Amino acid sequence: MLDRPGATDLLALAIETLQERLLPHLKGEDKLTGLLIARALTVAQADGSDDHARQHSIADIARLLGTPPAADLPAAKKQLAAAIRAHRFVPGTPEAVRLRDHLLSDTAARLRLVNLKYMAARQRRAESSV
Amino acid sequence: MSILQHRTALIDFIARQSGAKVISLEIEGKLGGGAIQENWALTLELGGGALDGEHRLVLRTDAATGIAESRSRTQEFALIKAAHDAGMTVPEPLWMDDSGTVVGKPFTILRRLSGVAEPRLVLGQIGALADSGEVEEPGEVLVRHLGQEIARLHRVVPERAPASLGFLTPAGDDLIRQRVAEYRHWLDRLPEAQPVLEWALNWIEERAPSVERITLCHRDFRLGNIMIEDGALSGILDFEFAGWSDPDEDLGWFCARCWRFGAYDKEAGGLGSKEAFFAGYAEVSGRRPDPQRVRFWEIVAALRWALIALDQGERCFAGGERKIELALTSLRAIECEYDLLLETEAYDTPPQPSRHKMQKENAAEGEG
Repeated sequence: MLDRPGATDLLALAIETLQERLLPHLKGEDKLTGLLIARALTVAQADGSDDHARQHSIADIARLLGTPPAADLPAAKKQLAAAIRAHRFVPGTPEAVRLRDHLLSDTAARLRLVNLKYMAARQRRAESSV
Repeated sequence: MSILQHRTALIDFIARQSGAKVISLEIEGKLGGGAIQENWALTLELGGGALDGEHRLVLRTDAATGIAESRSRTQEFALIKAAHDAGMTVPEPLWMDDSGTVVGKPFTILRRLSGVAEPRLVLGQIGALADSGEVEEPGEVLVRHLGQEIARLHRVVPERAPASLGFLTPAGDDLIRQRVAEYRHWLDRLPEAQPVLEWALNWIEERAPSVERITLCHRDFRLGNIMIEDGALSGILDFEFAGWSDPDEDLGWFCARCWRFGAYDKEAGGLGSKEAFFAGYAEVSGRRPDPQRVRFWEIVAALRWALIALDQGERCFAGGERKIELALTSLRAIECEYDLLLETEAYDTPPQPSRHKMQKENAAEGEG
């Protein structure tokens, strides 16, 4: 509903204010709590600006299942999870390969939002083992 | 309700249990850690009886909300006692109350260990010890010791178990199938579907190795539950998930990537090598762990930790325990999902010679 400042502007400003004006003055447990709040806000900010990825994931799941796109991402994931549990993707088939590719790209996209460092550490390790 | 309000009832309880006069009881306050239970530090002075003198103790009781998989405090007491009797280094279990009438809920009293359990502090101690040069490879020394310790717990087998462990669910050849069913049920209780975890459960079901032995297992053996003082072990904590299982589950949990606290190259708990950990284990058990079986259980560990992490989020959003730490812990499940997808692929792919090794071999063939 709001245009300017909208949710994105306000979140960005809240994070900036927390990091620059509040966190430097906090100590001990309060500092830790402040850092956790900053992290929660940063994740929310990244997720909020990622609607394209959400739509992409819904479309990808619909392609995997051969069904019309679900109304939202939780509904799409519910359909996919049920199909996996029903063993609809037979190991060794192209469908199973496409499923794993989807799961990996979707998980990587979510991990990028919440912990880019973790992903980078894994990738560095994979490269160093080549 | 705080333990502080029940001080008099607690003194009466201790006097009855110890058969001694309580000269003083200081409730020092709540200890950190323990998302599922509360730990209170006590200093007790007894007069007379077998325990005459001063004692540093910890009183453990349930937090406001628990998680689906955890055990009651009195069951945990029986488990710690079994571990203590098997020679494992654990806090000595002293007394328990399962009536809930003394402090308003069941509790146990154990001897308090010295040292630190917080993983970053433990890793800091080991790093400082390595830098000082006082101990050569202190991480390797510690994981070897931890291998010996967990092997001691695995001496407890169902056929010779004390009657006090009768509450444990029996486990058999179908252990992994049972676990898969239990984890699917767990998924069904979560508000959102988890396709990666469903996929991983199918993978686990398809590749489940045969279960060769069943022993008492800690089922949360990792940094965070290991108390260290000056770089050496002072005791193993938190038996709330313990039960009958394949002993390789403990080894896989300890070595799983999610429990290395950023020290990913140190495959044994972020502290040292699997070689040293397995060597310590073999010294006590006489059995050298099979690395591939342990890797299988590392994958099961990633799945189980993902479920526990999601449960922590539910404690915050549905359980009434509105803590930002719990909400952020639930995001750790995504790291586990990523691990599951990559580790299963690595498990399924036969090891390939490295590019460097292939180049060397090609050069050698060329020379021939």
